[in-house]
Amino acid sequence: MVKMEKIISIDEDVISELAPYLKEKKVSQSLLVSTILKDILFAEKYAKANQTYAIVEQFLVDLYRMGILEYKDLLPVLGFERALEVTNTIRTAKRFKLWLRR
Amino acid sequence: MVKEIVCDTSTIITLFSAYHLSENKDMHLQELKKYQLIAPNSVRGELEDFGKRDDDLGFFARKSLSYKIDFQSVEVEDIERYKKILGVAGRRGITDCDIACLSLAIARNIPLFIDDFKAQFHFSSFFDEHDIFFGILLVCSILGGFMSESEIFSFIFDKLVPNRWGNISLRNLLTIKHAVSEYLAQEE
Repeated sequence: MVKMEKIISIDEDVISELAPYLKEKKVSQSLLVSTILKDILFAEKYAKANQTYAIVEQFLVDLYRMGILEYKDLLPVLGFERALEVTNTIRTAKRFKLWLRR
Repeated sequence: MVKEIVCDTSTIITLFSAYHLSENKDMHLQELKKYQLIAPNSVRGELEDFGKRDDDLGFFARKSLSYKIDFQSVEVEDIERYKKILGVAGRRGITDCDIACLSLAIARNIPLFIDDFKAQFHFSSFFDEHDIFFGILLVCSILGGFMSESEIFSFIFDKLVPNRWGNISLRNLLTIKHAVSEYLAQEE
C-alpha cells in the first residue's frame, strides 16, 4: 500500500489551466480535490456493490452542486429519470436550509 | 420557537431510529422538541403495525408512539381529491397514508417530511410551491445542534443508515448522500 503524503502536489500545468476556470466558478482547488477524495472514500466504505457507479454519480452530482456542471450535463450518464431525481434532491436540501433560517 | 411539521410514517421511524442510536439522548431530545410533530391518524395505525415487528424498526416504532405526536384526522374526500390530482391511485407505491400526510401539510400550510424518496419526488413535482422535505434532513438538523459536520456524516452513514434501512439500494443510499452533503455544505 502506498503511504499517503501529507502534502499533495499537483502538476503545475494542470493547476495553471484549472485555476482560472475554478476561480470563475468560485470553487477552490482544495474543495475540488477534497470532494473527489471524499467521493472515492464513500464508495469504498459504503457502496461496495458498485463502487465505480457510486464514484461517477457522486462526482457528477458534486460538480453540479458546485455549479460546474448543469442539469443537461448529467443526462448522458445518469439518464433522464435519475438526473431529475438527483437535481430534485439537491434543490430539496437547499430549500430545507432556507426554511430552517426562516 | 417550536416549528410545526407534518411527518409521514417513514420519517417518524427515521427520527426515532436516530434518537435511540444517539449517544447523547438528552441533547437529541432537546433538539427534537424544537419541532411539533403532526401526523394523520393513519400514521398512528401504520406505526402500531410496525410496532408488532420483532426487529429494530418495530422497536423504534413502539418508542415513537410514546412520544407526543399530534395525530389528526383527514377527510376521505380530501384524500380522494389529491389522489385524482396526483394520478397515483394504488400506483408507484404511494399509499393513502402518504396522501393523507400531504393533504394535512397543505391544509395547515406547514412542511411535510417524507422519507419515501419516490413519493417526495412525485409530490414535490406537483406541489412545487409547498415545502416537502426528506426526514433525513430533519435528522441532520437535529444532530447539528450538538455534533460537528464530520460527526453528523459518520453518524448517518455508519449508524443510522445500516440500522434504519437494512438492505438499502445503491440508488437510495446515493440519494441520502447527496442530500446530506448538500445540507452540510458551507454557504459562501
